Amino acid sequence: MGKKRHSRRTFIKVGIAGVTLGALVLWDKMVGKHKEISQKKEIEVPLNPNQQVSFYDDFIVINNEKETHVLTSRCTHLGCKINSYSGSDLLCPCHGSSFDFNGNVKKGPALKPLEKLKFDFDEGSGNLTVKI
Amino acid sequence: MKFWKEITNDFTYGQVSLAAFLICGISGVFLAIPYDVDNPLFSITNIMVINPAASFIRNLHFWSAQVFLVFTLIHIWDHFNRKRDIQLKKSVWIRLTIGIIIMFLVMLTGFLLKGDADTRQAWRILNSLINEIPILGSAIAYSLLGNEDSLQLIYVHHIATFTIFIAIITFEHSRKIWSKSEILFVTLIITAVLSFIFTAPVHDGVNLTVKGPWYFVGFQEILHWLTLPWISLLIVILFLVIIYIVPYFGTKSATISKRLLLIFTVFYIFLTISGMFFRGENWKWIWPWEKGYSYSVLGSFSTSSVRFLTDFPDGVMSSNAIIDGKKESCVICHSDVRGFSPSHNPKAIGCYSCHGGNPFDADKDGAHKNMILIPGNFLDANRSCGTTNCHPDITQRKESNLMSNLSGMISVDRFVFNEQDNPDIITDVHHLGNSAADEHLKNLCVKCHLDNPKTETGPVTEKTRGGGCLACHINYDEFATTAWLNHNVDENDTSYLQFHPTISMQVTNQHCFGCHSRSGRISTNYEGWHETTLGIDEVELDSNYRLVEESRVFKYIEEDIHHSLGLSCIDCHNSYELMGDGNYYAHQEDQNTISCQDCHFSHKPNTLGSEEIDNESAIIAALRFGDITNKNFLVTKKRDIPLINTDFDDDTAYFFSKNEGTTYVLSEPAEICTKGKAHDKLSCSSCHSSWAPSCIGCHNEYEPYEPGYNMVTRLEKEGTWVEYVGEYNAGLPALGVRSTDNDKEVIPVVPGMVLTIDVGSFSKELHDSLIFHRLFAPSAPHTTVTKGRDCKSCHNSPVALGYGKGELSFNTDSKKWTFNSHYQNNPADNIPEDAWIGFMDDRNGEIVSTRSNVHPFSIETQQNILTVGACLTCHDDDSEVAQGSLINFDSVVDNRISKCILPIW
Repeated sequence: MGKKRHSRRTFIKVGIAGVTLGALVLWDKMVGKHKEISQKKEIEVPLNPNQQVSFYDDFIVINNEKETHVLTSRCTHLGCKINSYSGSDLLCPCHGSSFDFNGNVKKGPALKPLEKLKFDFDEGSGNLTVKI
Repeated sequence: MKFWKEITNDFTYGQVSLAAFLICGISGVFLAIPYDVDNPLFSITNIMVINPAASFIRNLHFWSAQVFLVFTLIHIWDHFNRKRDIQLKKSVWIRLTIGIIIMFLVMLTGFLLKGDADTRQAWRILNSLINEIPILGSAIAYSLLGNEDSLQLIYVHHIATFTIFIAIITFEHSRKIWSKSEILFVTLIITAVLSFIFTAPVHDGVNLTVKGPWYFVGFQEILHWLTLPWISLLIVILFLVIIYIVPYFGTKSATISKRLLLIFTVFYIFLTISGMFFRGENWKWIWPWEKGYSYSVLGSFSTSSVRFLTDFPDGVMSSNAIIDGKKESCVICHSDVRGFSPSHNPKAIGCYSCHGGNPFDADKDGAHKNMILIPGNFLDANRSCGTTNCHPDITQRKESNLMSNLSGMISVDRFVFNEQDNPDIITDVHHLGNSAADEHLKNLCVKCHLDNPKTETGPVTEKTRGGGCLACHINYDEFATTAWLNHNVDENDTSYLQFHPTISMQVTNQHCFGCHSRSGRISTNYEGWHETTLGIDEVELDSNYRLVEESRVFKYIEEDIHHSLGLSCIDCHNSYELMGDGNYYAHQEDQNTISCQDCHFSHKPNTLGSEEIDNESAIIAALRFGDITNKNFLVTKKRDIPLINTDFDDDTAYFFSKNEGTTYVLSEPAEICTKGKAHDKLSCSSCHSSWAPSCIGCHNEYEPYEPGYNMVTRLEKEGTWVEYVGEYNAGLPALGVRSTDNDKEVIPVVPGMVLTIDVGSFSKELHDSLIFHRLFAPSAPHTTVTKGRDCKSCHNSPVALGYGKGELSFNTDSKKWTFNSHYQNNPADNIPEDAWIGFMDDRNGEIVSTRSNVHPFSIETQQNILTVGACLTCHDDDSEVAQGSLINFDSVVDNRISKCILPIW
């Protein structure tokens, strides 16, 4: 009888663990798919070629003399929105990191450079499309 | 007594915590009525501004939550501190331990639901942190926080998931749903009082300082020091593990663990205090005595009490102007104010972004607390004109502007006081000390300074000095002026509140006049007026004489051609000259980029298209002139700064006045200007300045008992430097040479500092008791005329050559030039009072001007000039000889006839 009870308890434990694992997998899949279909992919903004630095929610457009590039606005330390600059430093307001206009770290706590994002420029409309 | 006894007997920290939780839950249900999760910030500020009952409930929700958190933590600590076991099952204890995290999450989600600047950053931090959790981090983060642009999921977790969890575990471990009614009552009273006095915070959207809720600030400080944020997760897990296992340790281990927790708690409190009180913008450390501390640190503590009775007029409470996503109380009362330029319309930018105060306070006095009545002064420019969404790039560089730092003025003054060995050292008006020169500057000079604050309302006049951004950008129209004057007569007349002065780019000559009618007197020169030493009683004011500042008598000489054409100062001087370009310069000619040749050119000019110019220039051009798409802007030769009021189109250069929009076609220089190479080193102004003001014989003395004034502190004092004026003159300027690295240029110069200074009168310790200087100053007279000065006015003029007034004559018998001065020689240097140099001298080796790089003509050049001058004693300007000399003087000399007599040197 004792052996039976043990088997039954083990069965329930394994069953609960299995259901939990299944639920976790299902949850992860559900969230992953929802994120994939609901989060922004491409954002179109007008390019202002005169402005050296333009801040948007997800990215920063930098116009150097002959070249435009787009950096993520998410600080590589903890994702805060970088929303100001002083001189040639992009400043993170939350924990004090700063980056140069190429995204390289000038002052921590951030360690990694800001990611350069791909973008397309439509000369007809003058718009910049950034892929997030 | 019985009531208090009941409370004392039943009091536990857990009871208070439970009471606060109940108050928080019930107030939350009511708060859900006015709160709009789709427009969180607007709905909250709307509550704060026009719905006092809702504001009180929100405060009750906030304060009961804080009480709940604090007392729950104390409750946990209290359990640990008792020297007996926690009588709980392991399964309950583990859920309670998880409950600590849930408690912080319910607090944090409440913080996030504000939807203000702090919470948008906090969302990202939380998202990043949770994503650091291996395997399921992404799913947990998204399930908890949802999409960044929606607070729906967070709202659900706040009101349901976490709240229910806390309710369950509270009941599970205490078997209670209601706290003791006495304790509930007292907790309600305390939170209600707190709620009435202190409104729950919300970020104003302007201040750059970003901070989490108070219980998270210590963690924010930890994160600042951690380059690998996942370590912070380990700290949290370790903290929870210690809490979980403490009850199951033996006495000794438990004591160590508890002490560890105590150390951690004390350390965390220390970090919280340092983060709260010593971190400002961009998480920079800032001490209380440093500039900007009260705004960037204490600004987040600014709060107000609930105003159940407001001063709002009937019928305007529901005004729904949304300003940057929020509501401001200011525009409810000040709803019908006129005078704004479109860029500064309060319906777009509100009042708060310029004037500060408390935009969420419904009470007049509360809303006006810490208000900036006159924004734009440099002391607070970073929180008015220079806030993030406005003009921070300009206010950051304003200090580099010479009109702000006064470097040139200070450096020259210290040089003439023999306090430094050259006049070109870069310095700043904020670094003035107590030396004789600095005291002289403080007594007589540094009022003309952009950082000199505007302290009274009113239009810009001849007496206006400084005023920060408003020094140039404020204009009172007819209505505003009348209303302002009426208020000055009768302070009960408040019609001025309906007429706001216009803040715009309409910078008129009047704005410049106050400061620039002094010293070099460029403003008055430009209009044709020369200051005299005459008294008011000595002249009749008519078209020939005018008064400035009610006492200074000016005589009309001749106005600048550009003034007669209707051009303003800002038509030539661009934003980088007037507001600084971020670089520090010793003198104004170094800072200025504009030159005559930028507009008056004979070859194809350099231009920039609208997409090639910098953003500031593009914005200014577009605001002034509309569509700039196809414009080709002329650029300054000096630094390629676009002249935004020009257009080079189809080989024609157009110029547009900035204030009036009048169109002009730019003319080329006359042929004579570019003919040959004889005059290719001459600046345009050396020929085309019709006159320049000058002064000689000035004496400076310190009067220790005279009433004085300190222009920096703006306080009256005893003792002052006094300037005794010598003689003012107006005439064709002398000429000198400015040497740069690669070039030399002939420029106008005037006797700028021919003076004596009695430094012994200031301090007996100074052994140079009487200083004498004979310095000329490079001049930009701003008295341009179309026709340049004639040949003799330079080649045969002792004034032009720097000898001063007198008779300069060529003796054909002796073949020598001779000079007899009108002025006696000054015994200090044996040179005529008005002269720069003695006849055929060049004072080589001395600093002889207010710049190290400006000198008189060398002796060889003087000889060359006077050799031509000898020719001009017989030949007119238009003669073949004179004109031929411009092309090839040597050839003219070689082909001269026997009658021609040249000087022998």
